[in-house]
Amino acid sequence: MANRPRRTVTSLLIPLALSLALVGCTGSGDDEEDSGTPPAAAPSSAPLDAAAGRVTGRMKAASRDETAAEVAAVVDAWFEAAYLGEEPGADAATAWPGFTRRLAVQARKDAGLTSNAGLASATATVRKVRVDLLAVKGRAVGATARFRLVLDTTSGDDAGSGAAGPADPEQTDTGAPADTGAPGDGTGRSVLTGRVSLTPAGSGWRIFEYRVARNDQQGGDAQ
Amino acid sequence: MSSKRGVGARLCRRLTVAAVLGLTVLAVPDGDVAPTTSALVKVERAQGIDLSPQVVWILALGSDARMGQDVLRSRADAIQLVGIDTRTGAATAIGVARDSWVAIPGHGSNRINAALFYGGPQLMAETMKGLTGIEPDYVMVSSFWGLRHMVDAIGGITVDSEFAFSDPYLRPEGYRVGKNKLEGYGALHFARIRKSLPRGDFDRSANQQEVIAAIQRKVAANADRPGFLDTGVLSVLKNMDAQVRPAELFRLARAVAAVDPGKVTGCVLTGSFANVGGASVVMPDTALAKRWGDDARKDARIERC
Repeated sequence: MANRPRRTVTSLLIPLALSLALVGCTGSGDDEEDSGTPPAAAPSSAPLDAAAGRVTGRMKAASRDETAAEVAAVVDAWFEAAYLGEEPGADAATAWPGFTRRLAVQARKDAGLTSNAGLASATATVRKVRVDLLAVKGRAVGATARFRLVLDTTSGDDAGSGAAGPADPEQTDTGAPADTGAPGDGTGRSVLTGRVSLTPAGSGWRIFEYRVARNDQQGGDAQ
Repeated sequence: MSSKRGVGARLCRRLTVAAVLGLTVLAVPDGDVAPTTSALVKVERAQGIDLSPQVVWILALGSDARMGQDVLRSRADAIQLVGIDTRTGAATAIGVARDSWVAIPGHGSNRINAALFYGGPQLMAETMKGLTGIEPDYVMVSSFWGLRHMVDAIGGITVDSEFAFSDPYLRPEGYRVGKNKLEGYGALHFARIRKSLPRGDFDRSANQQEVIAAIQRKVAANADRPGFLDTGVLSVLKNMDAQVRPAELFRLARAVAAVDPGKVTGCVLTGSFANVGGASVVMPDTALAKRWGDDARKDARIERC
């Protein structure tokens, strides 16, 4: 029933590119509206390393790879919007694309972990997603994306002062984003791991659950 | 639901020792750059889930159907109303003895387990609503063999038994007080045996809650294993009449996995014994059932059984 197909990045590049276009088309007509539109990708970050993980149930290989690429694209859109580039996650309205509306509200309260809100910039040195699928009658009915995101971060002018905070006032009582910068140079490294769960919605996929662990280091070697 | 945790106590102790040792190294002359000899790394965690409704109620029924009989139109031997608050991770169960004499909509009064026979899962849900005031969002009906297969599918469970008990036919080797590692058959009989328990059907209902809690603990502990939850969902689809779309079941499984085992409670509705038409029945404390329902409806917590 369960097997462990593993495909390399290259095998997913074509469906991933196709699915990125698909993701850009979703969001209207679904019962659960998209919580935002991802901004443009940061140019200097590591490319997405995406692959299908474990498939439970029967599914054709082509369908598996295509679905995994679609799911990975949704997750990567969140990475781009929430963690990467200049002033990542600064706009609370667009920081959690692909999340259901209600989950985006929860994620905003956990902005210190589900985004880099408050930091000046971040680039990814590792951006890895493995997509496990549950298939019923040959079709994926649920997806679990396990991820690892390693970031080089730069704090704002107020690095270490505790003044840097998320864009949304709701976040203030849940803790400002972690201070990732080394005092003096304002740089640091963050390792984010965890998983998000998705189900089909309309023609795309929506994230309805997240579990995120964040490890902030000052100039560490975490990979 | 949101939670943040620091490093464990053991790690803290080790790091404290390392930090003390490191201080001696860090006492270097001014101007020198001290190498990093130790680090205190804080790992923060957050989790959230979107399920509608946010407090979900599942009526879990164990049908006494034998092989070849209609599982949905037999009598319900196990009756557990389970609530999950997806915002807090709390969960509770209200257990009802099968011989409880209650009002069954459209059928007068009868033992509660007859509602499944008369009107299937829908009538059971309406009957439970009449008793507790809570309308279940889902009804999940399992056969004996369905429960057995589901427990086996997740690799067995460990129950914490309040009593040492046995059954000469079902489980001659018995169960001991405390932890018992069980495979499917063992779990099934733990939830079925009643004659050797001090309070009979009431204690059996409590044991059924322990089986549910043990399944949840197993699911939560293994939720990060790739494919574990999905295997469980497939098993439920095969062995239980869940009457929900697979994607909905996929979401429910995540909600079950997100329950905090430390926030799981359960109460068994008791009552007085009576005789109705020559049959021994339980007259349940309906006021208590309503109070629990009112107490738990919005947060899946019962302050006191």
